[in-house]
Amino acid sequence: MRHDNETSDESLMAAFRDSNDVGAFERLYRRHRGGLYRYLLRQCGAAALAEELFQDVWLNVVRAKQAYVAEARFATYLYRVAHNRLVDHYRRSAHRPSIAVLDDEPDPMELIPADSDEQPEVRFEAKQQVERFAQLLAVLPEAQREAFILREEAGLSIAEIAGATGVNEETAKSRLRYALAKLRRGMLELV
Amino acid sequence: MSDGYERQLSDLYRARAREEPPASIDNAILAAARHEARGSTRVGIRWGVPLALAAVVVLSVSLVTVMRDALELSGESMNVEEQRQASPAPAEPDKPRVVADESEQRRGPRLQERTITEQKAADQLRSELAKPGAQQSAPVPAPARARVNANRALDATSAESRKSKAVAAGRTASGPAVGAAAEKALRSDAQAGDALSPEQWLKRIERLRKEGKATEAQASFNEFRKRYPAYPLPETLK
Repeated sequence: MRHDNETSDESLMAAFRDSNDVGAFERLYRRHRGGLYRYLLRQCGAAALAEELFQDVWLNVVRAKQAYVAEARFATYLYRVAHNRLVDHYRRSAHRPSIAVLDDEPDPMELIPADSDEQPEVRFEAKQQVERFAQLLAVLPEAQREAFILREEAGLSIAEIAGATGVNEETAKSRLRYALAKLRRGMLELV
Repeated sequence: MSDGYERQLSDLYRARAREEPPASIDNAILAAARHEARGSTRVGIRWGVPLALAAVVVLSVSLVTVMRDALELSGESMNVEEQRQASPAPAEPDKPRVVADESEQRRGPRLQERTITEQKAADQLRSELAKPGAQQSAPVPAPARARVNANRALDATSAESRKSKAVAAGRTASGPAVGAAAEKALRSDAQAGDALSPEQWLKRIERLRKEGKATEAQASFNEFRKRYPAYPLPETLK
């Protein structure tokens, strides 16, 4: 079966579940691999661990494909599996990272596209802002950071964040609001 | 908080959010998906034929069992019909009785014989009770209590024979008017013999005497003596 870019996640997962359509799964995987990986990376703080969890989450999705019911967006389902895997990991290791600082982070300066007309001061300022933002995000409380990343990486709404993290909508909304407020305040202090 | 600032925060996040999983993990996950898909297909093929065979076997066994039971039941019902034709019941049987009989006959020949005997006894008792005067005293027992019915029927049969003798005796002694009273008394005595203890029966005789029903009292006493010849009598009746 052929799938284009407009085919919904739910249809792709249903094709994989019902027809063993590996092509559908591959397309679905390509759509979500980056976002899920970064979510796990930001939440656990170590690339090796994030890779292990990432693999576990996708293998869970593959093995439990018959249990998938398209009653919500696939993204909500995927990130709920990931959230549960993270919680399970924290419980087993009895360690929750308070600050997610990555060891081998790339230089933020390299990530900003170079503009020939841009002054070195402007580039330096941009680099500072990105660095500062990364630090602020890393020191956010875990639940608030999770709410922010779920919105940024998976495009989840408040209700979907609530569904993925197993809390009510008010809690999810409050977490996201606190996260945005802290990030904003931290960035203003830089200026 | 303004949407503009939220957008700025989002841009700051995205400026840095470029990490991706290594290609080796991609390959491992996609290989697992392919393996899972092949496995599911193979399971379908591998178990399809055995499952179909198992279903056929289960259906066949069920069909044979059901047919055998049906044949056995029809054979039994034919036997019951033959027995009924050989010894037809005197009175029309109640519907629940018939249903109960049929269900009992399924349980085995011994039970079947017992049931037929019980039914005969019950029919006899029913015809006995259908006679005038009998309806007033003892209530008709429930058909389900077949054994109790049979015992009562046997008692009633013996009482009937005694009653006919006593009636004959009463006619010769006191004439038709007295005979009718005695007959009535004896009918009730026949019932009383079933329902009353000897002590209660004697009290009843005494009461009849006190009420001035000497003939009835005498007939009842004679009946009592026939049934309980050795029972010690009170002073008033000696």
